[in-house]
Amino acid sequence: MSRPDLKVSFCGFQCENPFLLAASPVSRFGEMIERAFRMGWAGAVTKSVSLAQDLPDHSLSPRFAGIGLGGSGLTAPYKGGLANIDFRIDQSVEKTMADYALLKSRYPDKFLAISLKAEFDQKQWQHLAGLATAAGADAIELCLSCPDPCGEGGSCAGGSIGQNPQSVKEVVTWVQSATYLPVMVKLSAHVANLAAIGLAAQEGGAAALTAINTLKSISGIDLATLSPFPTIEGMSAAAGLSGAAIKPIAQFCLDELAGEPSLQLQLSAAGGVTCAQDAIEFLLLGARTVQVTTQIMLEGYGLIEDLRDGLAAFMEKHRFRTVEELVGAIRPKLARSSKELSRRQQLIAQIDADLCIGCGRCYLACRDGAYQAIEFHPDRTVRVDSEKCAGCGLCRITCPVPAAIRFTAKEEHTEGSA
Amino acid sequence: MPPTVSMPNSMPPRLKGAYWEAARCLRCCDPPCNQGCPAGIDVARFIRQLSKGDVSGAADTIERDNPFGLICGWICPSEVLCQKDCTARKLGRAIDIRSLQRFAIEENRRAGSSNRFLTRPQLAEQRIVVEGQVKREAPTNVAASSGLVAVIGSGPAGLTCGLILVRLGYRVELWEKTDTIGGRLSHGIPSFRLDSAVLRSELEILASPLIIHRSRAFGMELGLDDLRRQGCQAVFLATGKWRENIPEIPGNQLIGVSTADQILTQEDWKSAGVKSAAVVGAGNAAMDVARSLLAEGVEMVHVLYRRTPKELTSWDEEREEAWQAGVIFHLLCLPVALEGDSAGRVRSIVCARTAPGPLDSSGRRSFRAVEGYSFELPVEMVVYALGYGTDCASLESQGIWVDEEGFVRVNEDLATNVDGVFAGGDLIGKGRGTVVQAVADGKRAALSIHQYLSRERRQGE
Repeated sequence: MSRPDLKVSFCGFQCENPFLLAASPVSRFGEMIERAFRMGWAGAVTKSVSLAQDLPDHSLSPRFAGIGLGGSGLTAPYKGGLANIDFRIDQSVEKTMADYALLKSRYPDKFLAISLKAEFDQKQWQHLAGLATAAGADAIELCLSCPDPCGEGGSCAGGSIGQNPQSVKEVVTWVQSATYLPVMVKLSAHVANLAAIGLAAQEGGAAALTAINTLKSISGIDLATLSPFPTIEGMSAAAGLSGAAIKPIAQFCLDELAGEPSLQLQLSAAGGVTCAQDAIEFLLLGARTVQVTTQIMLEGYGLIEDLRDGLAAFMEKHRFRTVEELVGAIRPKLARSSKELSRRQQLIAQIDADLCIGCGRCYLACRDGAYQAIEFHPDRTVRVDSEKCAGCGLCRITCPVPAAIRFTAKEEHTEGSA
Repeated sequence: MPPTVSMPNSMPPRLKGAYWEAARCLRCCDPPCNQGCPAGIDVARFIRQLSKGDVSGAADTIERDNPFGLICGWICPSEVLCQKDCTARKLGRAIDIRSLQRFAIEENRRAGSSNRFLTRPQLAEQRIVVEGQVKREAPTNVAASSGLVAVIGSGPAGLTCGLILVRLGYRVELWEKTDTIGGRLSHGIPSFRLDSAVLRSELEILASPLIIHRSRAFGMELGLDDLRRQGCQAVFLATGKWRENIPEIPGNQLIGVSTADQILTQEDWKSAGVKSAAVVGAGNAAMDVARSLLAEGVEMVHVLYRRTPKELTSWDEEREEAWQAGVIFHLLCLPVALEGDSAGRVRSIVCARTAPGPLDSSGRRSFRAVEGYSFELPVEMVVYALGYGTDCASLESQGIWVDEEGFVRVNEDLATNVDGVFAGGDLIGKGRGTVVQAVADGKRAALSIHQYLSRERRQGE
């Protein structure tokens, strides 16, 4: 079998692989994006350009907060997420667009979408769309979901547009009439009915949807100073949360869009991609491209090597020849609700005595969080009570040794041990 | 208010990674680390607190059970105690608990918080680990406590016992033979193992609540009768072991022959310009001596040991550091004589090769010299580091029973044969010799003395 083909068509452009930089700090200006292109990223959605960025740079400092897992934000070694508050481009619109134009001319094979944001004002949107088109971009992404208040009066301009299907449709229509480029719309998870927003974008003439933007969040509080993070003269405010912590939510949103039968737009996923496994999951759920920010912010553009090689290895193993075959491949396996799932399958935990290190974590979890089905003996061995075990799966989640706990069918087990 | 403390500014790498290391803890059920700490520190709890960023709570957990938490964080042989059965070892490597302990307390000292054992509003329920079993003891009748207790010796056992008794409401007077408090801590721990400024400030804090009589030795001039006459109702003996073992071989009178204590506590040898030395013995003190010699410019340092690595009592880490520092180990050899030059200075040490014999009374294999098989090492200095014995005479003069190995005989409550007299620390047995065990003895003795005095008072009423 030949090497799998990672190419994928997105917004009418042939991308060399499905991996793009998301509109964010990692795509702030040409030199950064160029470095990412050289390392193998297929394309980029630029940091959102707005007319307001000509203001002198008064970006907030600090503007990021690490969201720790299993500890306080400052000390927890594992960062499950990143909160971002007020990150903006620190050069003029003119320079920014010239920068992107030069970049695109030097990398014609890379996909470049210019992201735009503005208030609910036809003139602003059409002006920006004209500039992006003139810069030679391959697509325009509309940021209708930024959780940051970016309007001049502090009103949540882009974000508030994305709350309302009617205004989404209108903005897309304005932009559509000012450019011949395909239009992508970046969505927020903070809506009651995401599919309705997607449909409105479709009616307005969009070509693709990006889901999701960051989530509104509070980044925790410094208990030494009683000030919230990130602390700015003792104060803070809500910030946009990204990274591993939001991946399950981003996947839910993608499922909502991919599962809407009348929605025909191409989908680009964003939200918590940290490794090839995450990215492949998004493709299997229905995304054609995957956008990344936070993991790059934490470990650099070199992440592309893991994504590219991991995807190729996966495709080879499962005999997918093209990314197109992969897109949405597991959709038939997602029921619309857990009520539709079978109750016939009944499993039981089996603990491999050779792999078990005797930590007793499974025992504690089962005792206090499940069915009291695991015994912990004074010699630090464990035993599963097959009568009590309900096959819930909690023990395997707590076990530090991969594959030490397996699940087998309860029926088979009782037959086998009889 | 206890005095403030000075902390070293530089932070060793293993402390910088403390939060990562704490996060590696498996938080296992019935944690083996807790059974490994003689002083009864709730090890699993303080690691969990640290992993969740609660560094103040971690220090509280450590110091509620061990007033010497910071010092143990430098020198405790954790690999044979709390880290010994760490479950994470089965995933490759035990948690570096000693460094986590030091980190938690140093961070708190930096933040201006003093030793929590002293600043707690009241004495916590005390946890003691005896043979792997965690026992908890909450002192009762505290309100009625009164009376005077004498503590002999200001090492970790004596200080711990005194501090607990003071918190229980007793008057405590502490008698120290030398002019420096701290016992073995202040006499013989080289600064590469324990920063001397940290030790000094820590001892100063711990001694602050106690009345201490310095330069008063127990025995002839200060006997049990004298203490009773002064009103002491109970006595805790924690004088340690100080008489250095020296083999009786020809040549010991030569210039250049000394003992571990002389090397570790005195300075004059440093100016002698010696280039080669033999250290006899391979325990922890011998390792400290060997490394101190190297550090002062002695180029060839030989360690002579009559047994094999199996019988070594020094801790693996100490020995490994000595190997890496350049110490040359000679196993299975026994010094039989020292040769001197015309000026009466050591010229060489003559050793016999040894071979294994039957097991001795301690269960260790004995080793005997092999006839006609010997070698001679040219050295300018010989240091005996063969361990310490008890000063039996001063104890026996007071009617206290000492066994044939030189240890004071005590029961489970650390009571000696003399009514109202308790003993602990290095005095009472093998397998001691650690700060943490001395602390554990101090705690146990304090609680026993409290029980004893409460009983006496009830009987008196």
